[in-house]
Formats: sequence, C-alpha cells, structure tokens
Amino acid sequence: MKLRALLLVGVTLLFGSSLSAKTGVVFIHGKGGADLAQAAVARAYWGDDMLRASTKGFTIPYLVCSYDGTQIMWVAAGQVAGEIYTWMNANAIDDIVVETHSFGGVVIRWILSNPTYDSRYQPIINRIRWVNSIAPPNKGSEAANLAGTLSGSWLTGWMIDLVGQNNDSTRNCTTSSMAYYNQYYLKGTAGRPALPKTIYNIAGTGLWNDFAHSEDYGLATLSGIAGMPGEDDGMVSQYSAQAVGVVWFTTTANHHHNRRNDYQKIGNSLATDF
Amino acid sequence: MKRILFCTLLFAPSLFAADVTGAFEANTKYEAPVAHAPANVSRMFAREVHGNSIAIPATGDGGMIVLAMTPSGAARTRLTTPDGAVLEPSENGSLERGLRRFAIDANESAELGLPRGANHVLHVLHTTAARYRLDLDTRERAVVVAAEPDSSVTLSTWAEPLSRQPGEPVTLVAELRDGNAPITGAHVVARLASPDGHAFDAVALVEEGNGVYRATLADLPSHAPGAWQARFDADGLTPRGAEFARTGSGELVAERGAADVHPRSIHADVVGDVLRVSANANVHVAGNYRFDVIVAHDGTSLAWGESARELAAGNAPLAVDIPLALIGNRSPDDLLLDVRLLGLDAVNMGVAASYRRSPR
Repeated sequence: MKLRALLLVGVTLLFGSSLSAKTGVVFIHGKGGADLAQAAVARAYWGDDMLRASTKGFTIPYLVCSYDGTQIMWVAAGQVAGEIYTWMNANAIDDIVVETHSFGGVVIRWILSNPTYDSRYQPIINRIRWVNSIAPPNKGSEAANLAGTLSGSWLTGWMIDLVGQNNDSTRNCTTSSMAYYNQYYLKGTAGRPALPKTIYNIAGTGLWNDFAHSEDYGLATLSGIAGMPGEDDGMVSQYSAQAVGVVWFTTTANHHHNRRNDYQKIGNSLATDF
Repeated sequence: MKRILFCTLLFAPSLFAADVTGAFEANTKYEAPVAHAPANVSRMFAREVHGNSIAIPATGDGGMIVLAMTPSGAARTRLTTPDGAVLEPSENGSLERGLRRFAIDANESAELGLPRGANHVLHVLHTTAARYRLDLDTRERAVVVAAEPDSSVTLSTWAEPLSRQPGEPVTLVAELRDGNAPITGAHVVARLASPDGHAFDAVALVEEGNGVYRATLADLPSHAPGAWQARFDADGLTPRGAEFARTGSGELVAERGAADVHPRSIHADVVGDVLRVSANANVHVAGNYRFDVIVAHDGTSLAWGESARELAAGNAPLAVDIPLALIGNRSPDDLLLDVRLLGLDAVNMGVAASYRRSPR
C-alpha cells in the first residue's frame, strides 16, 4: 500500500507538471455472452454506480470496453485494443489506469505480455500507468474446469446446450489452459518474465453477500461443486487472483458484487488513483 | 517505483522492432515447462440419470450439495435420505431437518457459469455414509451433480504432456485418496474429447499402487489440434468401507506440428555486446512465429528475449540478441538456454518447439 501511495505521488508530480498530460480510465469486463460486445450491455456489466465512483463522478475521462465475452483472449484483446487505441488518440489520453474484472484481467495480460503481437499494443502499453485487476483468474478457475466437465458430449450431445458454457473464453479460463498460457504466452507469474507495467490485484474472498439474491446461492453452489481451494469469490480462487502482480487488497464482495460498487465500495477505492 | 522504471527502460529501445529483451528480477528461480497442469482435485461426481431415479453415494464427511439439470430447468426433485426422511418437491426444508432447497434463477445465474438447466440446489447439512436417492419428476433427460465439499475422499486427475507434439504418447493419471490413505481397488475410466467436443470411448485406467491409476495411449484418437479434455469417472469403496463416486477432469494441448527446431542447431555466441542465441527451424506451415529464449545460470533465470518473425515454409534461421549487460560476465557455455518457437496465427497458434540446452 505504501509503495502504491508513493507511486501515486510520483505520477501526480510527473503528469501534474505537464500541460499536455491527460489521465483516463479504461474498464475491461470479464467473460460472458456475445452481447457484451454491445456498449450498453458492457456498461450494465459494471453498473453506473461503479463507473461514477471510479471516475470521481465522471470527471475522469473513461472508456468502457465492449468485446464479445465468449472469445479467447487474443481475439478479445484485439477488440479491446482497437477501442482503447481509437479512444486514447481521439482524446489525447496519455496516462491510462486500467480497471479489469475477471477474464478482463487475462485479456489485458495478453496485451502486456505480447507487445509485438499487434502494432496497437505497444502504444497502448506505453500510456498505461498501471492495472487494477479485480478477481482475475490468473491461474485459471476451477469453475471453468467444472463447465468443461459438464460440457461436450461426455454424456449426451444435448449437454452442450444445457450448460451453455462451451465457448472459447470459458475454455481459456480452465486451470490447465492457464497453466499452458502462463508457461508460453503470458508473463507475470512466478518464474516468468515480469510484465512491463504493474498489476495490482484485488481478490474476492466472500460468497454470501446478499441472501435475497439467487446469485449468492449460485456462487456458493458453484464454489462447493467446483472444489475451489482456499478462499474464493464463487468463481475465482484467491490463489489464482493473486498469482500475478501486487496484492492491493482483498474484498469480501463475491464475484457478482466485486465488479460493482454496492456490497463493498470498490469503486471508491479505485477512485483513489486520481 | 524502481521496478516500473526498470521495465520501462528495457522496453523503450524495442518500440519499433519485433525483438524484445529483458532481465529477470534478481534471484528468479528458473522454471522449465511443466509436464502437466496442476492436478484437478474433485470431491464431486456427475452422472446421467437413467429412468427417474438415481442413487447418490455419500461418504459421511460433512455436507452434500445436489444439483439436478435438465434442458428446461423444470425438473422437480424428491430427495430421500438413508434413514427414510424425504424432502418433497414442494418443500424448502430447514436447518432443523438438515435438508434445505434453494431456488436459483436460471437467467440471473447464467452469467456465473452455473448450468442454466438447474433451477434449484439441494443441501444436505450432514451426510451419513450411505446411499441417498434422488427422484426426478421429468420426462426430460437429466444429469445430477453431487458434491461433498468437506469430504476427505478426493480424485486428483491430470493429462500429460500439457504441450503434446504430434506422435507423442498421452498419459491419463488419476489418484484416489481418503485423506492420506490411498484408495485401492477402485474402478476408474477416462474419456477424451477433442477440441470440437467429440467424446471418444472410455479407457480403463490400470491401478499401479498407492492409489494411482494410469493409462497411456500411443496416440490421440484423432489428429484435431487444440485443447483436448479428459473426463475421469471413479467409483469404489474407501478404506473405511464407504461407497464413493467422483468425476474429475484434465486437459492437454495437441500441438499442430506447424514447425520444428533442430535441437543440435541451438547455439549461443557473443557478438559484440550481445549474446546471440540462434537455431534452425523447419517450418511446415508458413506464418508468424516468435522465437523465445530464456537464459539461466545455476538454476536462476537471468534474461529473456523474443523475436517475432514471419516465416516461409522450409528451413528458417532463428536468432535473438540479448544484451550481455543482462547476463553478466558469463561464458555462453555456462548458460542454460530455454528455447521455444511459438505460433502467433490462428493456423499455427501453439508451441511448435520447446527445448532446453544445458550448460556444456
């Protein structure tokens, strides 16, 4: 926390003294449906209160990325990079704080890890101050393993339709897939080259946030069935979220709530960057 | 602050080149590619329901979660405990009864990755080591998932090698434990599914002692490249005599064989103020590739380099220059070279080659 505060002072001094410097915030959502490629759906993913709080009442320029939530990380990253590149150039943003939730943390790691993969990546990386990554499945998710176990034609062909999770982004998030990608394509885990910019992770460690909502029952069920080791937020285990970067803080908000500013005021914490 | 500035300086000279180099943080332990992903540890099983009833074995270790899934999500379920207590479809149960039913809104829970065919979950607070029975009031096909999150009976599974080159055998491994005690005499099978979701016939795993079961296949049942999944099903009796069933998973990546590197061609030479690591590749599928090198010494990673290039089919020389300043005053012969050739296009994505040259 102290290091982060010192860095923030440094950034303020650095950019505060430059007339041309302009800070902005980028939000990158997690996996989900193809309709997350629609701006309105992506905005609803975070909720207006999260966006308002994180941007200090919308006073900080911001971009809510909207990519197809069923795609593998390099396809998603291409859509995200296109949006960031256009936005930062159109608005002369040269100091970007990236906020990610869940699979969005893997998508930004693909960009940071593979600067020569796409000509837009390095200019984006150059302007990123740091990344705040909420509940990223850096070492995969046991919940994604479960989806794999229940998908495919193991039992009967209709299982694919039944579970509705037989897509590339879910397969990207299995613990085996992430072990493979961490080993060869992604940086930042133990023993691998460091990322060019710091990631501050925020792991979720709670399940029961709101007994009136079925999401909590769903998450608790998922956590129990998927067999997540240690603490988890119903979708991502703490060990996985904290496998890359610096631990900023943990939250008792579960995976449904930790991308919002309701059960815990995570957006207020993110806003302390500005 | 130091770390960010350090990395920025390393990347700055590479802005307009396809080559990127960097130093590892001090005392970073060198880690070779692993043979397999971390084992998936399961305390649950999934079974298709034949007829309208299924027996669910419990080990008597804490609670149990039961989920019944049908395409419509409309199945009504009745749970009968070993002592004859019944949770009727219309009942939500209670803490006092030790049986509870929670409703799950399928639409709201879809984003969580929870099967949308489930509309409720049953919770048995404390099981006894015996069979429970679940009756389903549905004409649809159904699958039941039952988990004992606190159970000491675990199925750990994996498939290897994680990165499997064409022609390499595939090994499926399962380990059954009741706490620290190995579970012997169990029936364990595995099924492989190709990246397009086609599942192949079950393969029986052979017990080799200490609770470990294994099957080695000379080849995959098809040549489809990409992520192959393995699903494991095990059932038997624990050393305490409790009946159990477990379902696990594993995964490996069948590489495309898009290119190869000749291991003997891997060299490291000092050229001016850089260490030039070179190798020769035989490219079968033209496209964009990246030559990745990690340089290590005495178990510690020192520096890395990446060189992205478009390669035509045929022989292709590979090279990446790593500043000597990142390596220190060490002879090339004293260095371990971890060399990889990675595909970067949709047609060749994956590990084309991965070799390590030990210090001479």
